[in-house]
Amino acid sequence: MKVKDERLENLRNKIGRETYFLTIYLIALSMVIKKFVHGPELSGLGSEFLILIISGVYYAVRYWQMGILADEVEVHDRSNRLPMSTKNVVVGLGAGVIISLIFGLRSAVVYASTGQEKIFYFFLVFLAAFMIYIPVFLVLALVLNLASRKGGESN
Amino acid sequence: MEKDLSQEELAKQVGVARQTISLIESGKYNPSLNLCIAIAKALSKTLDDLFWYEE
Repeated sequence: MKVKDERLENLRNKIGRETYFLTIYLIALSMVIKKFVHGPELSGLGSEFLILIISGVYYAVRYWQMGILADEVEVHDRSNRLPMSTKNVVVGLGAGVIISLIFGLRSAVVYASTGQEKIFYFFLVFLAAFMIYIPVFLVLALVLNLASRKGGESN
Repeated sequence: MEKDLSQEELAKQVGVARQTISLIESGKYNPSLNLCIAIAKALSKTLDDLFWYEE
């Protein structure tokens, strides 16, 4: 049996991972700098968005394909009282409430003038934002649920 | 493996995924020494019993 040097292999993988995250940070930095230089419009950031989306999708698909997510869910659910799927729903809904609260508060503070208007704007925007978030949340939950089943490859 | 443990039970005892145990058994994954020791302890065997084979 041929022996590979696991230490070197692990170190190479580690550097590969670090390089990936470094690239992502540099792309994010490039977007921030471009926004400073060219102003608030998002044109000219297409290539950065494309790189981020493609690499993110690739990472997610490979993660699923190799069955890492399914195995992680298995190990997690064995040692935790709350299963991963329940945690995802709680965290997802919690994030939705927080995002909607931020939008609602912002509208109340920025656009309303009287006290009554503030309350009205807050609830209106909060509820509207939450209603928009629900379908997004459902799609994400469904994708995550499907992804945590066994992937195609098994090694 | 002996001691009448299923892959699932062994995985649970060691704290890894069942797939990891399955891949070690079929020789498709090389475990670290720490993991080997944890498996040997879970099965009350020595490393020799589990992983030594004559070429």
